[in-house]
Formats: sequence, structure tokens, C-alpha cells
Amino acid sequence: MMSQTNNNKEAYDIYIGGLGITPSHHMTREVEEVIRRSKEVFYLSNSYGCKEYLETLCPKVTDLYNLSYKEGSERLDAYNTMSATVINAALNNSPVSFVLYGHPSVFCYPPRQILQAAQLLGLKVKVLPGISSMDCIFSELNLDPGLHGLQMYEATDLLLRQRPLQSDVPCLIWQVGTVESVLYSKASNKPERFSRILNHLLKYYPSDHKIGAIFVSTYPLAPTKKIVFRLDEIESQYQYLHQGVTLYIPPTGIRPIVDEDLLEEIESVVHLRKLTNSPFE
Amino acid sequence: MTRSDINEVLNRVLNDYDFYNQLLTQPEKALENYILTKQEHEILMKQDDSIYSLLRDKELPVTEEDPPPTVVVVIVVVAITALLANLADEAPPVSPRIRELGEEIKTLHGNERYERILNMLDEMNGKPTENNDQ
Repeated sequence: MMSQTNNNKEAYDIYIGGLGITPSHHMTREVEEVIRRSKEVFYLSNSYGCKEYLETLCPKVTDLYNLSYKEGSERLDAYNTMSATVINAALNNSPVSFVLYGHPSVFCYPPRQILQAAQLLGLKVKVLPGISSMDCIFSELNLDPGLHGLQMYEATDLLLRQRPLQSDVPCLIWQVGTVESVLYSKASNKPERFSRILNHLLKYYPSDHKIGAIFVSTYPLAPTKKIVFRLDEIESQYQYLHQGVTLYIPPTGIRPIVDEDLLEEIESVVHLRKLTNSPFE
Repeated sequence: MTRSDINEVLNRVLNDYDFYNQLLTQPEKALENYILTKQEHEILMKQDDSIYSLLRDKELPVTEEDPPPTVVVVIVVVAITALLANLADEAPPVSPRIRELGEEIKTLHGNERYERILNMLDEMNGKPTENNDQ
């Protein structure tokens, strides 16, 4: 609990916070605190027990998911509904919180809309980080981007721009289960949904390259689901590749070191002295 | 219908880390004071994917081994999708129409204000509204 003062004026009108993937376990103390200070909290998460947990922190809790999404509608319409609801509430009776699954700045459009609109409306907004799927994937796959780097793309964007991939760098492809459409739908996928992305990936990886699909657990007792299959089997995995799944493509090999001179220098005290005011003798 | 404490157990997992830890290490002991159906008890003991069948919000990962075709997978995806890429990292310059809407919104209340906020967001998304007289 942060220190209490008698100052009732809040520094911000809207707090936008990340709930993490398992809200009650991942939520930061800072996000919890701003929810406690809010007149109303709007949330976007289907994690079990999320609403009940938020209700222990704030008396007025509103689910934006059911309010915003309609089958077959453009996702942008849903985002507009979410953003307008939060902004309207903040103009009525601030501060309010808008808390979302994962990290609010990662693969998430409404916070960007709210930030932009708030500037014009004189509303002050604070964005607070949360644990994202990416953070969980780092833990689950023991993936350290410090070793060989990391490339990651949103699946549809990858295809639209025909982005090139580096086969020697670990790769994450987000939202593969919703690839090729921006329309919201709960319908299950067909194998054909993954044909185009397969063709794109085959430009950079061999057909028998083993890739993984991961669905990060959203409930503490549930295991994270990971499956491994050959790249050319991706279409046959259609039933598993739902909208919560991320593709992981391990590198096909390690890029060799090219700059041998630098390799020698990185352990050299003399070299460090050239770069810094280091006291090393 | 037999009373079941399953919701209490599932919620306690979220809010009591000691209980969660005990379920992982001594599940029989953790559950001894709860009334559960045989199926619920088995699922809690297994601690595998079947736990999703107990979760109210149907967060079900669909698998090859367990392919319920009608299952509703509800994962919140609020993505910056590729077709929104024109709403690039750098916010576009604010048009006079958007500024005008911003000033108007400050003077309004209730549903009228909400509708104008939606208009402003549409303008920001590059979708001119019908009130656009520019």
C-alpha cells in the first residue's frame, strides 16, 4: 500500500494499466493502487475471476468486452466504443482506470486512441506497464533475446508487407490465429487460413523446420500449452491455432561472428579504457 | 443438485498463494475440506488442460486431441492490426475538424457527448464522419 495523504486531487484523469496474463498474480502494485484510487474501472480480460478481483479494489467495475465486440464487425468499431466509453467516464467523474489483459501498449490500440484524444480534451493520462504474453513466452521457452536477438511480427502485417525474415534469429509471430482478417469473429479456423503464411515462411525456412505454437496459461493451475510441428504441417494444426496462440520459429542456425577484431577487443581492458573513463589498470 | 465448492476453490487459487502452492504440492490435503463432484476433484488433481472446462469464461485452447468444433475461444485480442497501420507510430497532425470536435465535446454532456467522442475517434482513424463539413 502506498502512503496516504489528505490530498484528494489526483494527478491523472485516466490510468491505463496492464493486468498481466493472470491478473491476480501478475498485476503490479502500482496498477492495483491506481484501481483503488479510481471512481470506476473499465476492464478488458476474460481471465477467470478477473471481475471479482477488480471488485475487491473498486466498487464500480465495467466489462468493456461484451459492450464492444460484435460478431463480424470491424475491430476498429469495438476499439472506438471502448475508447469513447473510457473518455466519457473520465470527463464525467475522474479518475477512472482502463485495465487490460497483458501490457496496455503491446498489440493494443485503444490506449493509443485515448492518449491522442485526451490531449485535445485536456485529460491527463498515465500508462502503467503490465506483464505481456511476450514476457510469459520468454519464461516458458527459456528464450533470451540477448543471445541471438529476436524478431517478431503481427501475422497479417507480415504478409501484407511481405516482411523479410532472418532465419538465424528467433522469431515470434503474433495473432497467427486471426491472420488475414481484421474482422472480429469467434468462429473456428479452417486449414486454408494458414496457407498464405506457410508460403511466406517457406521462403526463409526449410519445410521440415520444427516450429512451435504456444498458448500462455491464463489461470494458475492450467499449464501453458505448447505444441511442436514441422513448418509444412501448419495447416493441419488449424484447430490448435486459435486467436490466443503465438508461433515460435527457432533459428535454423547461429550466425557466425564476422568481426574478429572486435571479438578480441571486447575482453580487453585497454580497449575498455579507450571507450570509458574506467579505472582498470 | 449437489452443492459444490468449485468456484470457491478456483477463486482461492487466485487470491491465496499458500493455497495455490498447497494444491500443487499436496492437492488431496488442500481439497479435503471442500465439497466437489468426482469430476471436479479429478480435474483439480490432474492439473492439466482439463482445468479450462471448469473456468466459467471458456478460455479453452483447442487441441488436436480435444477438438470440440463448437467451442468458443474467447481470448481478448485488441490488436494493432495491419490494416490499422496507417495509424502509424507517429500520430498524424490533428486536423481543424478534430480540434473543433474536441472543443465541442468539452461543452456537451450525456449521450450527445459520447456520440461526438465517437465522431472524433472516427476522424482520428481517417474515417470522416457525416458531420464533417470540411
